[in-house]
Amino acid sequence: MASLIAPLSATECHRSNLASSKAMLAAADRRVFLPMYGFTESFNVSVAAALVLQRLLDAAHESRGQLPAAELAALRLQWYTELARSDEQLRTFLELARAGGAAPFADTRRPEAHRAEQRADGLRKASFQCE
Amino acid sequence: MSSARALLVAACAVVTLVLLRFRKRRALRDAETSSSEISSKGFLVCSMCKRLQMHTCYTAKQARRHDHLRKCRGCVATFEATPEYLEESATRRAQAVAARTAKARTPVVLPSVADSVDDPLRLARKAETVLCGRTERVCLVLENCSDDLNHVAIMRTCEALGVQRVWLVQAATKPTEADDASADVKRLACSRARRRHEARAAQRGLGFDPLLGVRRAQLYAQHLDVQVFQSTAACVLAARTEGRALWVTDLAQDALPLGSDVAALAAVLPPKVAIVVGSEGAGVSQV
Repeated sequence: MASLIAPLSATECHRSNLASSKAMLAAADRRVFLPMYGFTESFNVSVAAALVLQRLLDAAHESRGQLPAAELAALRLQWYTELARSDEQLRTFLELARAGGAAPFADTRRPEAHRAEQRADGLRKASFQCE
Repeated sequence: MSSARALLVAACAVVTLVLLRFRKRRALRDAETSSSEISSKGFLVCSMCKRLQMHTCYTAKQARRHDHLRKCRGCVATFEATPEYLEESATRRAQAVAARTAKARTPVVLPSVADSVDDPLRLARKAETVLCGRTERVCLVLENCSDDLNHVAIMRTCEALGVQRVWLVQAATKPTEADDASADVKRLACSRARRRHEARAAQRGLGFDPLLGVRRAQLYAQHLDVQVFQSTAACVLAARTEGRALWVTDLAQDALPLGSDVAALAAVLPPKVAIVVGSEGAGVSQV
C-alpha cells in the first residue's frame, strides 16, 4: 500500500513543513479554484477535494480503467485473492485473473436482495443490543 | 515409325494449346488495364450513358467509384432532383448516422450488466468493475491534513471516485525537547485537534497514524496507491519525474475556475495531473 520513505530528521521535517504551502504554490503549474456564489469564501477541505475531483474526473472520464498493464494485473490478483470465499472459488478466480479478468458490471451497485439483507442486518443488530 | 509420328503430332497439339491459353490470358489482362489507363489520362466511363468523358464531368466522389457504378454529372442530375431520390438519400443518411452513434456508444456487450445474487463470479466481477473505474490520470495530493475526520472523508471519496493515486505530504510530527523548533511548529504539532484525535484513538483502543488517521482511513487506503512524502519538495520532485502537471487549489484572482464546462476543462487538462488541496496554511481546512 504505502511506500514509506525513510524519515528525515525531525527539524528538517518542520522546516519544510512551515514553508510547505508557499513551496507548493511556487511549484504549481496552474492554480485552480472552485467558483463560489455565497458570502462564504472557502469550502471544507474534504468537500473541496470531492468537488475538484468530480470536475476533473468528468473531464478525464475516458482515462478510467487505463492503469498500466502490470499494475492492473497485480491489483486484479490481489483483490481476487482477498475476495474469494472458498478454496474452490479462489482457484476459479485465479484462473479468471490469469485469463485477463471477469466481465465487469455496468456499475458497482449491489443487488436488491443484498441491500435488503444489509438493512435487516442493521435492524437485527440493533434489536440484539436492546435485549 | 508411325508411333513416332503420332508422338510428334501430340507434342505440337500441346504446344499450340499452351500458346492459345497464354494469349487469351494476356488479352484478358489488357482488357482489365485499359480502363485504368484511360482514367490516368483523365478520361472516365459513365455507367449510365456509357460515354467516355473528361474527369471534369464527374464529381470527385463519383470519379473514385468503380467503372460499373460511376455516373457523370449529367446522369446524376437526371435522378438527383426527384423527390423519391431525395427522400431515400435522407433516410439512408439518417440510418448511417444512427449506426455510427450506436457503434460509438455501445459499451462492450456483457453477459449480464447488473450485479445479481446468483452469479457465482459476482465477487470477481465486482472487483473487475472497480478496476475498470480506476484512473491514474488525476492524482490527489493532500498536504498537512491534520484533521482526522477530513482525512477519512477524503480517502473515502477518492476510493469511491476511483482516484487510484493519493499522495500524502507528512505533517509536522511532535517535536522533541532536543529540537529547536519554532513556536509555530510546536503549536502545530501539538495542536489541540491532534491531541484530541490521539486521545480518542487511544480510548477506543485503535492505532493512530498521524497520516492515515485511525483504522477507518487505513481501511479505505488499502485499496488505493498511497504514497507518503516527507516534504513538499519530495512530492514536487515526484510529480516532475512522473511528468505530472501540478495544479493547486488557490483563491488567487488569476486562478483557473473549475466551472461546469467539461469540454473546456478537458481541453486544458494535461495527460497527467496532480491536484493539491488544503494547501493554505498547515492543516487549515480551506481552499
